[in-house]
Amino acid sequence: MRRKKELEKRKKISKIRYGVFYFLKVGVFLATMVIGVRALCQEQEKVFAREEEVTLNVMMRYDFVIPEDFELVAQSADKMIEEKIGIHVNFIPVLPMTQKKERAIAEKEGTIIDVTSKLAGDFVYRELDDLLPLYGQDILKIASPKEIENTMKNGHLYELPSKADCAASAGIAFRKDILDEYEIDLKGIQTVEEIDQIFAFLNEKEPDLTVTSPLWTQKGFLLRYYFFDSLPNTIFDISPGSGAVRNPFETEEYFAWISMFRKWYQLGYLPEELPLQNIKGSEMVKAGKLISYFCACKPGIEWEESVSSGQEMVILPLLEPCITNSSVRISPWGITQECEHPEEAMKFLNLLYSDAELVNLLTYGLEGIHYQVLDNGMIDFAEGVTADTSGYHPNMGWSFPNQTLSYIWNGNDPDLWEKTREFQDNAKTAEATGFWFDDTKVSEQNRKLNEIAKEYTYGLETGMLDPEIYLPQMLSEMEEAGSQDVKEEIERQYQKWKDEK
Amino acid sequence: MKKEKFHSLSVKLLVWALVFIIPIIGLFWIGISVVMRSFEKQLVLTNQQILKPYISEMEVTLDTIHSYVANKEIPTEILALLDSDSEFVRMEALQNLSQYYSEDMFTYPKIDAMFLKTGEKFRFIRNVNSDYAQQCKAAECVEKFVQEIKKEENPFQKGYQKFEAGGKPYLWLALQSEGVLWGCWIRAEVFLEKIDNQKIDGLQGIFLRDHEGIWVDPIGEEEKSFVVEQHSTDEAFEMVALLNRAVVFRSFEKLRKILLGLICFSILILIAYLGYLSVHLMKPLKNLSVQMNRIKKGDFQECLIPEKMDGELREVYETMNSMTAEIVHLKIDVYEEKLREQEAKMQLLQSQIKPHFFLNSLNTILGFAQSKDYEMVQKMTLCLSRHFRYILYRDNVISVEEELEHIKNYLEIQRIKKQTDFQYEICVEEELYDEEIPILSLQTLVENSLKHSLNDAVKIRISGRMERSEDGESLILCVDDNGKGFAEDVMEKLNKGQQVTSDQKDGGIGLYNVCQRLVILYHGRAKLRFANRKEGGAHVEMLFPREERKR
Repeated sequence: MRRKKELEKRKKISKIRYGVFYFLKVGVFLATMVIGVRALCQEQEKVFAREEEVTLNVMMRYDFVIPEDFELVAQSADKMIEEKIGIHVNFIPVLPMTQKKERAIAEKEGTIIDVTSKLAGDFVYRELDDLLPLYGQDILKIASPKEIENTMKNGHLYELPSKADCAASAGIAFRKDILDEYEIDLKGIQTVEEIDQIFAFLNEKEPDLTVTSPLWTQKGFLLRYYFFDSLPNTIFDISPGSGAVRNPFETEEYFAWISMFRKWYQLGYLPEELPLQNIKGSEMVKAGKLISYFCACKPGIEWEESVSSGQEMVILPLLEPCITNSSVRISPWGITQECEHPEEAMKFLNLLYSDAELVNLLTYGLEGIHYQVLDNGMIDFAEGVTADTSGYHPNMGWSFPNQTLSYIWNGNDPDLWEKTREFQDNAKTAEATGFWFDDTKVSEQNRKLNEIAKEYTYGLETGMLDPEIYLPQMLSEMEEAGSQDVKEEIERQYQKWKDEK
Repeated sequence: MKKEKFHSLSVKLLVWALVFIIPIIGLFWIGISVVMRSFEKQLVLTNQQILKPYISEMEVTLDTIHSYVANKEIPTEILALLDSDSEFVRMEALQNLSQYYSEDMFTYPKIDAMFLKTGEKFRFIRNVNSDYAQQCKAAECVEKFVQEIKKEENPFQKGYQKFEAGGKPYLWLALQSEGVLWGCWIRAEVFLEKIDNQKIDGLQGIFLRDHEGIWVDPIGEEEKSFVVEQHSTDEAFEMVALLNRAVVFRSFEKLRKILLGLICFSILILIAYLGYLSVHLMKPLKNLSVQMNRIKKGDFQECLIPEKMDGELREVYETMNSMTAEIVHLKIDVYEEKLREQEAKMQLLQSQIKPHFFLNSLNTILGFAQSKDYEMVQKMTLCLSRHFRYILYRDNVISVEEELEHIKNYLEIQRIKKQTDFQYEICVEEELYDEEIPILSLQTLVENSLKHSLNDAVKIRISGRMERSEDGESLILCVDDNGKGFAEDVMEKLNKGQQVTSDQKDGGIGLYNVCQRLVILYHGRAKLRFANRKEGGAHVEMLFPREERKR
C-alpha cells in the first residue's frame, strides 16, 4: 500500500518538475528571441540614424549671463527638433564679452558654426535664395514679400526677415511719477527744443537726479542707427528727401543734435563719466538716479521699459517708425558660409521661423518649470519662481526671427503681435532698404571711415566732445581716409540698384 | 472575585502574550531609534561632504580674488590721462579704464564691483550681472570707508572686511599704492546663490555664519529642521544648511511606516489569535465549568455539543456527558440500593423482634407452666432461647449447618405450639454444611411452606446440592412441601421478585425480604425460583453463586 502511494507521489513530483522546466525553457527561449529582435531593430535604427542624422551647431547669444538651465533647455530643444525634423542641434551659448573667445575656441577645435544670429558674432552668411523654396516653405508663407525684399541685400537674401522689431523708431522714456508730479504732458511734444525745455525744467526741480541718458551708457545715443537711414556697413546714408548718398555727419541735423547733447552734457543732464560704466538707462531709473532715457519705440515698449525700470514709464516718441536697412537687422539669422549641411540648416531655420513650441522653449524655457500658461493665454513665472530664482529668463525673445510666435508675458498688451504688425505695416520704408553696399572695391577706405566714426561718434553723441572742435576734426580725417571714393562707389552701386529694381 | 480573575486562563494568556509582544515591540522601537540616530549622524557627515566643495569654492574664490587685487597693476598711465586737457583723451582714457577692469569681471564673476580712489575722486566699475541699485548702495558705503583710510595705511593688510549695505552683507578689500587706492567688493550672498538644490535633498535654506552670528541670512525658508554645518579651513566662517527633515528621512520614514505597519499587523494578528482562542478554547472551557457547576448542584442534564467543536474538546465534552450519565446512573442505583439495604435491614431488624411470636411463645410456656409440665417448659424455653439467639445474630450470612439447626429448632417450636405433627426431611450433604447462606433465608421458605399448608399433615423436604455451570459453581437449596402451592399470579409475581403480601404476623419476614436481601448480597446473581410440584405443593429453590458470596 505504502509503496504504491510513494510511487504515485514520485510520479506527481516528477510531472510537476517536468512541467516547470518546460515552461522555463520556453520562457528563456522567448525572452532571448525578443531581446535579439529588439537589439536588431535598435541596430537598424542606429544604422539609419547614423546615415541620416546631422548635427548642427547653433550659436545662441545671451545678454549678461548664460542662464542656469541653459543645458536643460538646449537638450529639450534638441530633442524637440529631432522629433520634428530629424536633425540634432548643438546649441552653443555666448555672451557679448565671450563671443570672440568662443569663436576662437570653435575654430581651434574645428567646430563649424552652422546657424546663428549676427548678434553672436560677425559671421558671413551664405545665400538663401536656392534653399528657401525647397526647405524654407514656411518662411515663404509667413514672411511677406515686402519683408523679404526689405531684408535682401541687392536682390539676394542672406538673412531671415524679422517678423517683429523691424521698424525703427526712437523715443524717450520718462518716469511717470515725476511727470505727474510736475504735471508735464508729453502729448504734442515734437521738437528737440521742446524736449530741451522739459529737461531744463526737470534739472531745476530735481537737482539730485540725472535728467536723461542714452539707453546704454557705453553706446551713446546711436544717432546713426535711429535718426538716419544708414547703410549699416558704412558711414554714409541716403538722404530721405533727395535720395542722394550723403555723409550724415556733415548734415545740419547731425550738428543740431550733437550740439544739444553737448549742451545737456555741460549742464549736467547726463550721467557722469558715461564710458566708465556699462549701465542700462532702465537700471539707473530703478536705482532712483535717473529720470528719463532714450529708447526704442515700438508696440509694447512702455510695458517692457516699465518692467525693466521697476516703475511706470511713459514713452515720448521722437520719430515716425521707419523700416531701414539697420532696423531689419536687429538679430539677423542665417546660415554661415562654412556650413556643410545647408539643407538641414535651412530646415532648422524654417522650424525656428514657424514653430511656436520651439520659439517658446528657447525664449521662455520649459513650461511648468520656468513659466506657466495662465487662463488668459498669457504667461507668467511658474509657481514659486521669480525673476531671481528662475533658471531660464534671458529676455532674448527679440533675438529670434519670428518673435510673434512666442507667448506674451502677463501684464503686456495681449494684442501685442497684432499691434506690432500694424506698426510695421504702417511704418515707412526707407528708400534704400534692400540695398546693400558692397565695399570690396573700397574696402580699405571704408574700413578706415568706420573706424574714425567709431572713434569720434561716441564722444560727439554723448556731448563729451565739443562739436565745434571735434566734428570738423572727424570730418577732415574722414576726407583724408578717402570718403569721397567710397561715396562715389556707393552712388554708383545705389544707382545700379535703383535701376534694377 | 478579583483573585479569581487573576487566576483565569484567558487573563493569563493575554498577560503572557503582552509580556512577550511588548518587549519585542519595545526592542524594535529602540533598535529603530538607535539606527535612526546613527543614520542622522551619517547623514550629517554626508551632507557636510556635500557642503565641503561649496565652502572650499568660496575660500578658493576669496583667495583668488585676494591675489588678483594684490597683483593687478594700477593703470597709472590711464589714470594720468584722465586729467588731460583734451576731452578726447579724457574720453578715451575713461573707455580704456573701463575695459581694463571689465574684462577681469568675467574672469572673476563673483566680484560685485571694483573701485578706484584717485585723489579725491571715487569711481567704481560694476559687474553688469548685479543689480545696479544695490551696487550704488554698496558703493556709498565703500566710499565712506575709503575716505577714512589715511595715506600711509595699507588696508590690504587687514584683508577682507565685512560691511552691510542695503541690508545685504558684503566683503571689501582694498590696496593702496602709489597714491592710488583700489580694490573690490563682493556680495556675500553670491556664494550661496548657485548651490544646486538638486544635489542636496530637501534643502530649505542655506546661510553663512561667522563668530558673531548669522552673517548671511538664510536663502530659502526658515523652517529649522535638520542642520548641517561645515567650517571653512581657517574657521573664520561656516556654511550652514537647513534640510527638510521629512525629505532627508524620506526613506527612513518609509521604513518607519513599514515598521508601524508590521506592529499594527502583529497586534491585529495577536488580537485575532486571542479571539480565536477565546472562541474555540475559553468559551468551551467556560461552558464546561458551568456544566460542572450544574452537576455539582445536582442538575444532571446532558449538555449539547456544538457542531463546530474541535476534536479534543469534543472528546472532553462527550466524556463529561458520559460521566454525567454514569454519575446519574450510579447515584440512582447506589441510592436505590442503599434504600433497599436500609429497608431490608429495617425489616430484618423489625422482624427480629416480633412481639406476637414472642408473646405467643411465652403464653405457651405459661400454659405449660400452669399445667405443671415442667419438662415442656424447659424444652420450650430452651427452644425459644435458641431461636432468639439465632435471630439476633448480627451477621448477614450464616453457615448452612446453623441455618438448618435453626430451622429444626423453629419447627420444634411450631410443633410444640401448634401441637401438630409435621414431618420434615433434610437432604443436604454434609459437605455443604460449611457453605454460607444469608441468614433466615432458608428458614423463611420453610415458614412460608408452613403457612401455606393444606392440612395438619405437613411434609417438608429441604434439599441442597452443588451445581456446576458455565458461570461457576452454585449452591442450590430447595424446599418442597405438600401444601397449597402457589397461585398462578402469585407465583408469577414472586418469580419476578415482586412483593406479594406484607404479612409478618407469624414471625416470618416474608419472601420479598429474602428476595431483596438476595439481590443486595449477591448483586442479583442469586436466584429465587418458585414453582408448583407435580404432586401438589410448592417447590422453592434458592440459588447462590459460590464465587460472589459476600461476607
